[in-house]
Amino acid sequence: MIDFLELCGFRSDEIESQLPRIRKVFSKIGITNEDIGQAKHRLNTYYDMELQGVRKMLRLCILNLADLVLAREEGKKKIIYGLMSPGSDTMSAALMTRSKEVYSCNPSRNFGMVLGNIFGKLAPVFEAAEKIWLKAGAVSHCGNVKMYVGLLALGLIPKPDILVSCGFLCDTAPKTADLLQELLGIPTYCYDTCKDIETMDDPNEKQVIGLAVSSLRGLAKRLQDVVGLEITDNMLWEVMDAGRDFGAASLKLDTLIASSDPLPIGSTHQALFYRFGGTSFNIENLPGQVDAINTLYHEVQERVDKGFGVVEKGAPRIFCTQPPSETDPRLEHLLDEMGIANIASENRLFPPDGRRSPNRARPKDPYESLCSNLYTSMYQTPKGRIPALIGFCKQIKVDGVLDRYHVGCRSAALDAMLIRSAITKELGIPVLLLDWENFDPRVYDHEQYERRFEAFKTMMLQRKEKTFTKSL
Amino acid sequence: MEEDHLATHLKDRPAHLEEAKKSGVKIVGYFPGSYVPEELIYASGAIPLCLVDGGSSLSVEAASSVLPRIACPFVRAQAGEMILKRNPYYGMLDMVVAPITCQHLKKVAEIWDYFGDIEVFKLGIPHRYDGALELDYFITKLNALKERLQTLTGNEITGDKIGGAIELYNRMRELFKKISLTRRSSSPSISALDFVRLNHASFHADPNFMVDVLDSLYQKLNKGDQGSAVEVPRLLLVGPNIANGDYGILELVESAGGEIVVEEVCEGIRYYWQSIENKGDLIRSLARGYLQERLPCAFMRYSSKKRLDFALKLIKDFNVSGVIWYELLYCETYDSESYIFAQKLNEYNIPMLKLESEYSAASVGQFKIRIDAFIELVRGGVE
Repeated sequence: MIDFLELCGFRSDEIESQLPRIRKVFSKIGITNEDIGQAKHRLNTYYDMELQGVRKMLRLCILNLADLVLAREEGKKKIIYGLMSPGSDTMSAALMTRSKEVYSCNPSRNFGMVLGNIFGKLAPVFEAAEKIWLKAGAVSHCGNVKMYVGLLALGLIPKPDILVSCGFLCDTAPKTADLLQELLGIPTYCYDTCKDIETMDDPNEKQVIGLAVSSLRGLAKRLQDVVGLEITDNMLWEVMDAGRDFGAASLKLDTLIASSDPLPIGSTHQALFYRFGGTSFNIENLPGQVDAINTLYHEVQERVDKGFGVVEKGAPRIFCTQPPSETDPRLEHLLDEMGIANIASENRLFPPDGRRSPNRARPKDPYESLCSNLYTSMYQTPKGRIPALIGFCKQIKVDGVLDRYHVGCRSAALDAMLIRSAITKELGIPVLLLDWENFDPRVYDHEQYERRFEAFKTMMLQRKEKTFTKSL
Repeated sequence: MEEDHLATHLKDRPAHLEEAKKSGVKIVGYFPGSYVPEELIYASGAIPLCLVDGGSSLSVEAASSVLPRIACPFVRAQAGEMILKRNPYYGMLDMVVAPITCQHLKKVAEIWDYFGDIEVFKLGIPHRYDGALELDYFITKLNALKERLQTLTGNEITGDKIGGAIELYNRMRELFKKISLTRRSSSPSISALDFVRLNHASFHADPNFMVDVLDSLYQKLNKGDQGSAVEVPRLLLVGPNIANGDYGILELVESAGGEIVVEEVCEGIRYYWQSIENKGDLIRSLARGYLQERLPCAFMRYSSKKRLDFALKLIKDFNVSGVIWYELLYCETYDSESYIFAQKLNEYNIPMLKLESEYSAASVGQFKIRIDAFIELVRGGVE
């Protein structure tokens, strides 16, 4: 255990104090010594463990998981969970700044990072959900909602005082919340809007945002009632301001990776640095998170300066639709192993300008600011999303696109064929479609992916060669 | 007699519509689910046509070039019809009103829109349907639709015209309700298959003609000999969608000796349990009727309990002894909800059979075996 914690960046002085907590957590979630041995192997296989930034991120993930599992035991009186609910995390964070008795997180993120990515031991959680109503098979229920149901069914996380979901992107999270309320007696709140416009440049955008803002204000009122503390506009701005450094540091790292050739760090780390920040809503943890990102940035910059790459210079560069896997590093690792430079994903891509600086001008109403996710590519109709993907692919100059569509997300996944035909037509680069589950590692099929990536790489190399020959 | 009249009318309907189109009348399609007020389309002088065809694997397969497997077969069928261009109704439209309901139907609207052959008006349906803000939002959208229809047709949509349309469609709903309620008798004179076909006919037929047909049929059913009561398993059908052409389940139940006496189906069955209030602000009336005063579909927020309570009421009112849950493959909200229904119905000792369809002929054999066994099980309970 101690060497595992050391590997994950725990300082020796804190190991003594944290060891009893972490032992208790691992015992509760069924982590054995054998699992710890397996985890060390996984970490050394899939991550650059010599990088301090990576170890710092892993450390925070483990500490944040402990905070979640032990929340009730450690005196948290009010627990709020978010389920696919962008924006609500800011309100929860605001409440956490006012009271040590409030705890909030997205449990699937914490378990995805630790029980999924590190331990590779999420299958029982999914199976627990499938034994109840989110059955396995062709229906393809989203792995994210399965994690919530499975974690609650297995008693791995405390029952919350309220679970917040949202209908900005999907129906499955609100429906799951509905059933959790009816069947397990968990109070829920769903905020919503109505996605009936072409793109967020539509003249009716204000109505869509207006409905979302009203609905979010309803959430604020409900959270205030549950927790007994007021949420003021200033509290929300305070949280959003605190998050700016983190956003800026992430963007800087993302940009450095996407603009480097050779790819300086394995693409398995994309999921880590995109997601580890989301394992805690507590703004007191933000300086540690920013430090981890900045540490990694400097280490990556050093590699870039030395010309170090995890794949060869000139390797085919790809962009992936949708965010990287939340629970399993194997697909990204396979891309690295096969010499394909996976340089960026659709995570937080804003039409029409690509990645967006956190320092841009904000709306006057903090609740409007909480709706920012509605402007990201995955929340758009194909008319908004596809030009954004094409624009970004041009900007970062990729040789191919991996459209790994998360089958659980009907809204984003159902664009797959349109994306392929539009990108192929407009950019002439190959697009590989992959039926994918972003949360459930059980879908991973090494042989199939390997064969398909080989063909994909060959297509990209042939096209590069042709383009090069033409230019002579 | 009514059946013959209706069959002839439907056979000639595409040609009549083409004629009307030539004379400048606009044809406005809309997707099913009873969220698009036909009254507004009718009041504009355009002809409303519900795009409700499905049940065939051909149109599902045709959609493979634009939609991955995880779209429900009804939605794939709608995309397939767009590609195949074989169905006269789908090919004569001047505009489509697409209610933004579930993620699947929303996507087919986006796909039709993306290919740009026809104007798609997206009618926002707030999924938190019961609030004042959501009602206002829907009213705004209905007013926008009204404006758009006026521009399309060149006709002003006056209050009188909306009132007239509400009266007409209320009459149609009332007749469907009356006909449906005759099935509470121990020996229903109209089968589920015929009732569903009538519903589908009402989406294509001239509404005035349809009202006459329904009226005559109701008079006949009301006066007719109910026949001697036979103890057959009386069933409730629940599900997201019964498309025009997707009759396999209804036929199998009938041939197995079961009787579906009432349906609670979101798309494909006209919502007839309530009328629209025909006074005051009529746009507000339509908004309330279509959004708030009806039973929500399963994709709406916090709908499970309300829907379950409604199903339990139907079970009691129609003396139902078993439930057939017929969902389309990949429909995640109905699939989730089937669990809570099965749990609760079990408490009332009402058996439930869950079937999932992808409009594939290959599943008919399996459905037949399961339906036969279920009817036997329910019959055992009845006896």
